[in-house]
Amino acid sequence: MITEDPYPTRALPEDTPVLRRCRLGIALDSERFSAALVDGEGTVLASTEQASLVAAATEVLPVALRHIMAQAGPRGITLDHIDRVLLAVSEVDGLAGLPGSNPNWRRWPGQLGPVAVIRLGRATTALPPLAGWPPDLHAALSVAETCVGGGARMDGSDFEPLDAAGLVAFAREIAGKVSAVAVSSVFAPVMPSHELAAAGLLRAELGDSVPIVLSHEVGGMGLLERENATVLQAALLRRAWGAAHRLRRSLVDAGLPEAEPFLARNDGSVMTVDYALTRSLLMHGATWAAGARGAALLAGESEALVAFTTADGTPTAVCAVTCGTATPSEGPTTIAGVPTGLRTVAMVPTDPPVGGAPGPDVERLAEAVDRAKSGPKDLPLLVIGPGAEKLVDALPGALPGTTLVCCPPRADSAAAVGVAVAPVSGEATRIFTLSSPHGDEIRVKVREQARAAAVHAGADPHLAEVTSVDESMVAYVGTPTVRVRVRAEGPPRSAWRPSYQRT
Amino acid sequence: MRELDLPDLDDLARGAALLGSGGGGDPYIGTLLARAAITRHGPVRVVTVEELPPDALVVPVSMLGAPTVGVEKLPSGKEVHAALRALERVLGRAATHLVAIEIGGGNSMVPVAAAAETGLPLLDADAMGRAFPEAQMVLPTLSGISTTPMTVADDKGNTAVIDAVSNHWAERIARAICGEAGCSVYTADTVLTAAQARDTLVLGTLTLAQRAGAAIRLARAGHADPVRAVTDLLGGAVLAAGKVVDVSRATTGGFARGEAVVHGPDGTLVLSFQNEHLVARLADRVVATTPDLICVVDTETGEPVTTEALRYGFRVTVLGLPCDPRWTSPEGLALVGPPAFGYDCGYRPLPS
Repeated sequence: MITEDPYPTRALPEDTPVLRRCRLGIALDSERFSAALVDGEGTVLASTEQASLVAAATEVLPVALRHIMAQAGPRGITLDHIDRVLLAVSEVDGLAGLPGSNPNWRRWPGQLGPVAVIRLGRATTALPPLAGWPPDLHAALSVAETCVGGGARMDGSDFEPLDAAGLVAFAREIAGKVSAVAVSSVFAPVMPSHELAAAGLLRAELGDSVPIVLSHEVGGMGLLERENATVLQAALLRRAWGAAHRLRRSLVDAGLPEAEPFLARNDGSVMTVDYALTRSLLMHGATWAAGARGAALLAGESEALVAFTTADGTPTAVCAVTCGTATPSEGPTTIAGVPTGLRTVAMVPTDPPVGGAPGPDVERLAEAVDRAKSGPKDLPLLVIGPGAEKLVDALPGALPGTTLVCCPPRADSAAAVGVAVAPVSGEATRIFTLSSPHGDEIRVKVREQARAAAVHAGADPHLAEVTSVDESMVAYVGTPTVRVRVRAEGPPRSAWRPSYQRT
Repeated sequence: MRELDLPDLDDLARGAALLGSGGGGDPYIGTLLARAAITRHGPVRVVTVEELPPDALVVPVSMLGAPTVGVEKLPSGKEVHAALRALERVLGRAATHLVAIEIGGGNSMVPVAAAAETGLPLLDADAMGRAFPEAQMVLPTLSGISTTPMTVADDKGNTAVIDAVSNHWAERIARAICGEAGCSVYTADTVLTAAQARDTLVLGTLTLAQRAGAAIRLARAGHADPVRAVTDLLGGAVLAAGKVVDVSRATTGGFARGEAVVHGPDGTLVLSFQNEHLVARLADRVVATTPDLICVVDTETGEPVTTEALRYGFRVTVLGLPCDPRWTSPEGLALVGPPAFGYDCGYRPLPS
């Protein structure tokens, strides 16, 4: 006998217009949050920006929803209209516990790891996995490391045959001792097949309850940095699971059981929670990327500079926006004393003078504006965040290097608007010689891979399309060789389910 | 004799990046390799050319390939050994000393790691005094010393021995092997006697790179001008200081060619680069060319900036550092002057 379902499936009448399918964006900063409700046409129906004592998404959600519905309710919006909830965080839960970020990290290792590390590529051991890691972090996170045959060459062909027997033997050694496994492979970003095959073999030995993180999911060229990020990611997985569970639960509790949750990435796009489980590091700094996107959208400028403010009107940093998206940083990002291949938003701090008076220092702001630019052209400076209006009011007039300084509408909630309208993205890359007769086939294939990657991350399969193609020469190679990088994007899929009746 | 140990590596890497003139590959992986090797085997013995016994057999060892591959396909650690042993089999005698083929970029670190692993002493010198992209672009070529016998070793244990009719051919064949082996191989070539080492190498460059790296570090720590610290040590001239206002990169004909425009109070400097910075023009007047070293450093920190990293908005100082004088002979310029890289200008000595 079926007892009463505590979470009954709700369904809107089938003739509900698409415009009424709303996305709720919430952006968390350390001590504040912003929220915005955007309809199917991209119109912002409601927004709010508040101080919040607790930076946890689960605590913020009901408060945000109350403020948003107070504005949207009179416009005929009900909770049933919200089919997607998109969240941006400024810091990944768990990272604060890693050494280098917090001197009291010894409280944390029980919640991080333990992981096993596998590298596919035996002839790479001059620098074994975790080479150069701080010894205490190494000891706290990893119980075993190995290198077995596998990996790809630059052109995607096999580097070594995959050593299935070696993988199985290692899996039997670590079974029952690890909470996750990190697998990296030579040239995995151009050819992940060995990582995928290894995951299958490991799963057969370890069972489905031991998650396996693959380096091509984390991404970035440079085996060591990508491997480092993969290991950190594997160590964070248990925490990510817990966080994802609490997030889903809080959606149900808030009256949004049907809404699909998405999490913001630091490249300005979003991903489903399932996808984010093994990629939570990509969320680090996502609030900045969301803020930049929101500012550009609200101001109607796709090429601009964005200044972030604190509540008292002090600028904290400036970033550049190209094609509506924040410019990413160059070079490795160091986390917990370990270089990783993660890219974040290229933020230029405005460096307020130590002990100086609060408020804008025009010279420093102008310097940051110039450093953030990627070209000599003057650009509009969009000021966002809780102190946006205060800062614009306090500026004495024109700022060098800018065409205008403005506070876009709903500037305080720009990050929430940015995450609410963010697309889902996917990338793919390949390297091939220009003389290859298969060049055009490879180009077509990479485009399709990028599109598939976007769909995998939660893009609407009908609307995901290629948005950029970049080809660059590989240096110091005898035969002219090119690397092609393709990015695809699409709107986040809707969790709208067809109505069905329980019998 | 002195010892090169772990604390010396960062200075050496920074100095080598500077002397790489914007190219030569990132010393980052090389530094990690050297650190791992020294951690395992202890510090490296560095000797001066005066300390070479008359019967010394000096062998330059280096990595050949693409940095894109180098950061992804890490070495197995056995490649240099394999190349060296293969060369010794051909020569019928053992190498007594290792040396760097170039002091700029990643290849400054390869022989450090190899010396730690093999226990052979490292000669304080190199064959270019900077970085160049091809095997024949070394000073011993000017003295008629053959690049071959040259051995090439990959990570799987394959080795090849090249006997070529010229050093240009050695480069072409080695490059073809490198491509087939996956664009990341190690070579041992340009074998030198003690006398040849003394006469054809640029001496003391390992120490010089280390001192340049230390000078930048110390200047920064002492809030002094790191750029001044470099020019005080290495001589040369500041060609321009200012802001990068444009960087363009073209990939015609399989060569990555680029130009960067640096706008400063003294005018606008246009830098032409391929893998390295090769020609600098101030108001259409050539002010510096290869084989002199054209080095770009961050004006504030003194950190070297590679051609790949150069971007709009960087505050940089462009330095012209004098090359080894043998490079400016007619034979030297034929090998590594501007026309050798496809530029139609002649060599122009640095402004004094």
